[in-house]
Amino acid sequence: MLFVVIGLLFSALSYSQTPEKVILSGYIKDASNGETLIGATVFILEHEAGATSNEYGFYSVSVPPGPCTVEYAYLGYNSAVSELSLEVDTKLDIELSEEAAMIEEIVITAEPEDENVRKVEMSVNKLDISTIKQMPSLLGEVEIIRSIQLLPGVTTVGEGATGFNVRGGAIDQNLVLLDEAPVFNSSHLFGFFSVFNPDAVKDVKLIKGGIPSRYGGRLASILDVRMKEGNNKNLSVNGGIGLIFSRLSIEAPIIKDKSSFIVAARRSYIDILAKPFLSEDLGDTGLSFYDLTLKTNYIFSEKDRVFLSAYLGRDNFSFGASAGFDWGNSTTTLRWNHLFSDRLFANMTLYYSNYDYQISFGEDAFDRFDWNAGIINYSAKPEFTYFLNPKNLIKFGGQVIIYDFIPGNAVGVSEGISSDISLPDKYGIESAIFVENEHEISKNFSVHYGLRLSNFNYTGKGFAYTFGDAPAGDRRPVTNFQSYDQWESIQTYTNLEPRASMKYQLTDQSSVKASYNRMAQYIQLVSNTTASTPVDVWTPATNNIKPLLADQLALGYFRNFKDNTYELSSEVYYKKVQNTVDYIDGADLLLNPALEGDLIEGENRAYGLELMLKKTKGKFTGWVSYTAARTENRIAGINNDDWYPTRFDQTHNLSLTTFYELSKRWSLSSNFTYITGTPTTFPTSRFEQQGYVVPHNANNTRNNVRIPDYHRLDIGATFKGKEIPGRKWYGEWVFSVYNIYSRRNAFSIFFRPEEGRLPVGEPVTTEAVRLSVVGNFIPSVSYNFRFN
Amino acid sequence: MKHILHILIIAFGLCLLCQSCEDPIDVTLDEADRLLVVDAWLDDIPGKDQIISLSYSQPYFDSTQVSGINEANIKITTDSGVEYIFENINDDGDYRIEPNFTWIHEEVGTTFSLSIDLGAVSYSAAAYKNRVPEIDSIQQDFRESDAFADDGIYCNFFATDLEGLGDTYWIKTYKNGAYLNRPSEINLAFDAGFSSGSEVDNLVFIQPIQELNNPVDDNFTPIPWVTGDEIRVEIHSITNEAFFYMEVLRDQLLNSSNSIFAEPQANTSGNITSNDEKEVLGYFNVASTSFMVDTIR
Repeated sequence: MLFVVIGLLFSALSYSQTPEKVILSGYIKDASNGETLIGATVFILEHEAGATSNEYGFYSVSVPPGPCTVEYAYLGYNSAVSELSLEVDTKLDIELSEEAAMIEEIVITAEPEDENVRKVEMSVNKLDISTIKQMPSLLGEVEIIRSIQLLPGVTTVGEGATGFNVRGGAIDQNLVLLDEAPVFNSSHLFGFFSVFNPDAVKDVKLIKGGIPSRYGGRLASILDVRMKEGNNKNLSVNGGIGLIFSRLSIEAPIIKDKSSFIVAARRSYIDILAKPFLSEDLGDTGLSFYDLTLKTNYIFSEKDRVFLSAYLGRDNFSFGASAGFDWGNSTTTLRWNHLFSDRLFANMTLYYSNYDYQISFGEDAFDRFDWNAGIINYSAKPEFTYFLNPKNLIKFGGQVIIYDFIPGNAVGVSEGISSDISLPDKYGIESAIFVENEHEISKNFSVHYGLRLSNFNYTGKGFAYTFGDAPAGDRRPVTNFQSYDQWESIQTYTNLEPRASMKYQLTDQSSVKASYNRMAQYIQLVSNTTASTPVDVWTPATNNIKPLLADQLALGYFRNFKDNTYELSSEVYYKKVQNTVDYIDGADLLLNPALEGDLIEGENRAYGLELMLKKTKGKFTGWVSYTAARTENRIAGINNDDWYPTRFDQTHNLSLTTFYELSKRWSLSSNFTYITGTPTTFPTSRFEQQGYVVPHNANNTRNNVRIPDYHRLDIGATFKGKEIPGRKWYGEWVFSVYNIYSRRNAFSIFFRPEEGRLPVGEPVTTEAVRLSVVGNFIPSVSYNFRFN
Repeated sequence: MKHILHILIIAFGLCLLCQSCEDPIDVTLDEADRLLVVDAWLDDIPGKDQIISLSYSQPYFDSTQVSGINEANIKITTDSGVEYIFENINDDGDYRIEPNFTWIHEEVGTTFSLSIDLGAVSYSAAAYKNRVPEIDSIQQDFRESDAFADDGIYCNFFATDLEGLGDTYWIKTYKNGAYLNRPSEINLAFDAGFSSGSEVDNLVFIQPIQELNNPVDDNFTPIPWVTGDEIRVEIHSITNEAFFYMEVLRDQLLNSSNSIFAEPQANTSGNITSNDEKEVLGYFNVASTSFMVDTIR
């Protein structure tokens, strides 16, 4: 594979040797606020050559010298056409203005109209933030993570659960990037709200397959969230007042056309609202969250621009003075874009990302328990884009990540006697180099291929444990341990990750695509509960835990109808994962130095069919998404060593998202979801032991039954303020009802003996109980405003 | 750790202003063969009958009284050759020996072999009698109300884990003679802490363990003691395997209150084997014990 890639690259390079070309390059921006546009197209009519702007809005295209007509396009924006006479390399920055029609129509993609058919990439979903804002949502809050769950291949184990599952992968198999820095916990208030402030988000892209080689480190998906740069033309204030939280963002130029900033903040007041519902004992309880997003940029010259972004989010929960619990992420990203030449664009990213939590309870300094844990990482990531010629776009670069895993610092004090049960930190260094090329082989056939070489070094300072054997499913005993110095290598893993995708254009309106990717993942979230908890801890690959490896193959057929009014995407995929981890019964996952002895290794396979039909134009727009899928594990010691569906396996997942423009000022929206119930384990029998009535599954099966199917309808309406030229204030009211027919969808079914203290010597009744996280319809209203 | 999960669950409940709900429903369960259940947790408390109960497992929703198995022969033999015959006196599946001087003076370090003959099948298990620390005191405190509990008298017991890693205990509390039998009141200790990993050796039992001898209500809130109540705390030494057995058993019973953070259903795995290779449920453990009784003032 390596040779194939190198061979192809060389053929691409030799092709570029054709003389006498000039380069047209520059940035494509939004005329109203100066935000760069990602994925805008440049097309040179005479030569049928084109390019797409990259993540920083930069484009470069080489053409034979002479007069030419260049068209710049971005969906939802007026195209710009330039008549140029290109004799030398030329820089041309272009500003596109939004189409006037935008006010009436909702556009649900931010892409040129037939991009889904024409681009090589597949298994990619983009959601425009303006689309997300139109969807009905829980408590009226614009929600990125919950919105992507309406796309094919994306599921969640249940309402309120943190994170999301992509094509049968666990939640820790998604690389969630906020301006290139990974976010380790993407949720506030468990899974109800995501950590992203929609007012600060510019672009959201989810890559589920055919993952380009510049991305790595997780198996299932990349959720690439890019923040706005901030309006560099004039001051703009956005905000919203909702039932659960309020948000405010301010963006403005610092030096006009050279530097701008955005600051966005949110704060919830759920604790204040919850007060009347709480019993007296819990009166002092506080529950809130906030987040703060900041980004600024400075254009030093034509060739150099620097971006600094930072995020801080925290959930706080307190029980009067005696107990507190808080968790959250913080990230900082510094990026430097440098143009080495008109063809070679470089970006250097440095980031810091941290997730941690703290728990403390106790009466006073003599009786208390304090505990914190987390994960910190630092990374440097140089990345180069080489616009070789209109047929080849090469990207190459590398990344180094230094991890500090903090599995738990815990100190308990009883009667003034302190006992420290902390675990030492663990360290690791992940590094990778990659190269990829988007190669247009012929007018109809394009290939995007690449390679990633990744390495993980699990290092000291710390102890490396050796474990003995135990029957499958039992705890393995520690037989030996060895001490290592700081940065001394304990175990290394190296993986070659080939990636490729290809497109064959059948007609102007249809194409077939195929992709293959191998992904390696060196860190995992240790979690054994249905929904992941904020106290779950990340652990590196070690001498006992092998890295996860996934191979995924996907095939797709893409077709647009009626002048691109309808887009149909259909894909099938098959994914095989090695070294999947599960846990022994009774596993001890927290504050356990011998944790690795409680993990058992196996394999996972996932396959499915994903269909999506989108209507993108007209007063009535929306999409239908349908997924038929299966994700199964086979792990020695579980389910009689046979395959079993994972807890988030959903056979059918249908969602219907619609938008309707009723009038200039009123628009309506709805979501409907129907999902097969997720699998769970029911006991078969019960027995008594020391007076306790204990459930038992005599068949030793795992996830042998399914909870009832899930379905829900949400509706929303937006009443827009009048857009009066010259008026600075614009406001809109958003009304929504979540779960309008009040269905009590099961999150899980559990089994329990009758409530109260068990009677001694009398029979005990046992029952099955359905847990519904949302037991009712939830209406809401919020007000959003903008001030320019 | 359970404490933390409990905090999480309350926090989760708050998120939706208590919108979540629980409804009993009818579900169909897979069928399964009945399995023999042996309930054999023995100790050396003076004046107490030692009982081994035999029964069969029943379908999960079968709430009829468990009927005992009466036709078995049960005996325990120590590694020094002493034999104890357990007799089914009342035909209720309970096989017992009456308070017995030799039994309670079997030394720490003795291995006990259990053998059960039932029809053509014989069952066996072994238990090792571990050491136990004395209880130093039971402290009674009046506490003001806080987010976790009402004001009133609460007790803490004090004992120090024995030196050396790997002692495991089951601490039982009785209020006015009645065993505090809620699953959330099951109090297990690995050395002075919760789990093998903690390595809190030869220390006073950590505070959450001291606290667990207060009764709790349906919402896990401790109930204060009242003047005149009798509190009795017993520490039973159990084997490491028995500790893990009880941990799984307790976690399974508490799993129903874990809301969205429930763990997968897990089976307890006992230490009794049969010569027909069939699974046997239940556990055999012989404990050393220490105890202290106090009256609430």
